[in-house]
Amino acid sequence: MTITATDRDPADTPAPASEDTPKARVLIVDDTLTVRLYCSQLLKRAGFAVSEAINGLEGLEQALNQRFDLFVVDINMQKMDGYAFLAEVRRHGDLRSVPAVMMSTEQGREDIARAFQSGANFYLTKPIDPTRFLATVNLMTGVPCR
Amino acid sequence: MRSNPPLTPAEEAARAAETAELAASFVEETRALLEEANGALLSLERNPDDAEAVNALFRCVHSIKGAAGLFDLPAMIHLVHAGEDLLGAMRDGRLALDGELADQLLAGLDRVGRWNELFRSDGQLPAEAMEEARSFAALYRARLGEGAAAGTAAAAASPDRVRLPGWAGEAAAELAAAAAGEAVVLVEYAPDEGCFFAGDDPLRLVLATPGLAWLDIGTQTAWPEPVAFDPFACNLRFRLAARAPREAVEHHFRYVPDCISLVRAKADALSGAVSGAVSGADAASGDAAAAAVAEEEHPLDPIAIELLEAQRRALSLPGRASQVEDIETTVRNLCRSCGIDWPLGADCAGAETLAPVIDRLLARRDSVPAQAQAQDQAAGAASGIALDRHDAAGERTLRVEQGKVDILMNLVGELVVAKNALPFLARDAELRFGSRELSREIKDKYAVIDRISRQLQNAVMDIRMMPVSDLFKRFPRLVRDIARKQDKKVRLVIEGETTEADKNIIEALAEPLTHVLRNSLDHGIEKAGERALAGKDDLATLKLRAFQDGDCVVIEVIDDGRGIDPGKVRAKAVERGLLDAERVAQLSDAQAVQLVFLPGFSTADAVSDLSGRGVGMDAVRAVVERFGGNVVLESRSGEGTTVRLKLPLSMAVTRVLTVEMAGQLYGVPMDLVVETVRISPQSIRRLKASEAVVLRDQVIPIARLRDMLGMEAHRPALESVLILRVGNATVGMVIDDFGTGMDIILKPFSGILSNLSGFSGTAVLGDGRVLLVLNLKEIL
Repeated sequence: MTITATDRDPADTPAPASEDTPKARVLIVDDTLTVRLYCSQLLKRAGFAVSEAINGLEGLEQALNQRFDLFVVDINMQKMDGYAFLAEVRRHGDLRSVPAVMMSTEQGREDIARAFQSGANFYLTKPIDPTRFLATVNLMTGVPCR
Repeated sequence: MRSNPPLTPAEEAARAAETAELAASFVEETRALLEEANGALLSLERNPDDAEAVNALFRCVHSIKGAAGLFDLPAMIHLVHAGEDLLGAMRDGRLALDGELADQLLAGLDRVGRWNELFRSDGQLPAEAMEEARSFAALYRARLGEGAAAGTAAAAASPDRVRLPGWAGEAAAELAAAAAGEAVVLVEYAPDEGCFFAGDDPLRLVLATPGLAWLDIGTQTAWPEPVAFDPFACNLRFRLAARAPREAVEHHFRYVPDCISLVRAKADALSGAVSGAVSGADAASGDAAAAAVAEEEHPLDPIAIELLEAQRRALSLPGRASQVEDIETTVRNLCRSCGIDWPLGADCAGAETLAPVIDRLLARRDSVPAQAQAQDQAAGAASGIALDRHDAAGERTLRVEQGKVDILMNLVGELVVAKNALPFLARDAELRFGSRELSREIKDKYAVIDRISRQLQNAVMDIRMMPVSDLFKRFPRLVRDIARKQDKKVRLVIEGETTEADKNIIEALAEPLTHVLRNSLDHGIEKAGERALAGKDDLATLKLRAFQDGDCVVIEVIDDGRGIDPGKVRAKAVERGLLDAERVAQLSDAQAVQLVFLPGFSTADAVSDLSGRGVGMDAVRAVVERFGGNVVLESRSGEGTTVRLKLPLSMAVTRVLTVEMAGQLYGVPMDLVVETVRISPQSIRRLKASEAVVLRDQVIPIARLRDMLGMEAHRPALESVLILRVGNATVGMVIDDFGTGMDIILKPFSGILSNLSGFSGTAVLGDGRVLLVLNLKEIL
């Protein structure tokens, strides 16, 4: 499943949820393999196209080369952490409008405030609740509910 | 809760496979993370200022916690969480690592490692895991200086002697109907201030408590002035009584163990407890709780509301006002998702336009459809969609089960053997069918196949190569623990970690190497006081070094301890009845030191719990020699000891020299063969019961293979003698005739033949014959 930069903006037109076209494209940036695997299993099963990156730097590389409809970002990562990743993303013209959800085991108010400050649009705490996670991704990517 | 659409058996199987894959990935990843954490902790202990190590340690523990949350492993999460708090304090410089703390953290890592293995084998943690996790958490919290403030730990430590909380009396009145003697569980739950952000819904959690019989909702601290009121901060405090087993209630609150204190008591004992005064703050909280209940019952989509609230909040952040594209996209997508018309144009709106839109959306919560329904539909649609197995980008390595590589290796082995049939075929073509041309053709093709199979063999062997660091990384912990236990100061220096060798060899070396290191620590390295007397540095150095030497990998363990005392070794050998005094006296010091390799030898005066486990240097030598290697020990009294293990890089292919005995072929490992000579029978001299030959002024003892194999004697005109180097001795072995050298894949005996001594295994020859390979160390 290749993703090309010429695809239409999903914000303008509802993404068709057929079996061939993914509902939306999600980039998971997390250094924990198990978490990546879990999220992508969940999302792929729900009809999303998923890419994975193991740190912010790799995530940024992918974000700059492919189109995504949503970033799912961990905080604690080597090389480039989630805050730095989002800050970079929000600085970049093409990526500014892509919603991002931060996902971490941190529950402190400061962490959360910092996440929003860095450019996150939502914050989910690990352990991931699959129902909540999927609902969030659906809402944030504009996948029709009805 | 929504119900999942029924799955077809195929989908169920796919789900189960995914779950298994996830669990396997978790176990493996946790193993690696624990190893890394161990390493980081040790380097931190050596160098407390190593910020990089603290961060690495924190990150590892953090990752484990995050991944463990995907499974039902509350005990593991609880322990790791407590450890993480401690590490957080270390990272922020609030706490310094000392030996005791390191012990505690290492013990915690070990426990998590054990649980990880139990999770792998049993799919769950033992029943007592939560109890253990609590005691670790209490230990860690005590170190943090918080004591057992959360109460959980204290309650867990002595569940029967816990004082009833002051509010127990209140509960008693409500529970009047309770039968005398009925047990209830009292819980006080003070959610985290930031719990709303974490997606917790404390009220729902409380209301779902099994056997909930009484509930009181209050505040943790008095409500602030309205100006300072922060609707995002949770200030609620719940007190409840539940008629349910303690375990069930504990399990219910398993993800917030830090926020609850829990007591089990007899219902009729409660009324005797002092009644707690209901403060004004408590009364006020009732309204807040009512509001919370009302909100809970609202027929709206809570996640959409949360998401909208989050956008509203983000919009008001000072740094975000100028950059709202993502917020707009989020809100716009949310609208589309919920079937609400987007009230603004396609152009990007500013913060001023966006804010009222979000407020309006928040105001029309009632009209927002229930998300649960929508999710059902989404999930329903999704379940019909085939899984996209498109690989994620990023990974450049491939994890392969060892079994698959072994199969590949075996096939290569068969190919090597099968290819050996071609020269026989070429000979047959020429001699039996008289076609010299065909013979040459076959030989040409053979050369090509030979080259390819050799490359294939190297490639497969290369896959099996792994760096010795995989073996070495376990030792810093071992050395540290032993040194600490024996009160010795030891610095472990590791060199040449990147040296590679065959996986099987690396794995087989773990035990002997552990033993050698233990020996150095137990017997070689002195306590600081003794070292000072000897004029040595307090800090002993233990060096573990690996390097490649030709086709071999060499691993050295070098210590600067007291060395092996030859006198002591001599005395011990005599005392143990291993050698008589006369022979021992004839040995040089260097030779005497080698006596430690004799079976049944141990120099430890007192058997410590560390070494002296019945595994001696003889066992080390046996393992190393089984893999075709050797062990050399050098020791200088007072200066230290070096143990050198030398092993072939790869054990897959063995080069042997075939020898002929009464028409049968046998294999002799080529690396033992020094030279081949033919001598007249007269030059073999008889010395008492044994024979010897003088070759270039060296007296070489002679052994006859026919005697050893129980064959009849044979007297040719010229004796064929193989000069062999076995261990440190040179031996001449009389055989019938020399064959050729060849590469074989040695297959060890299995089944009832596995105990057969004198042979190390078999190999199939190109013409289908079976070659028995002699184990010379055993028969000589």
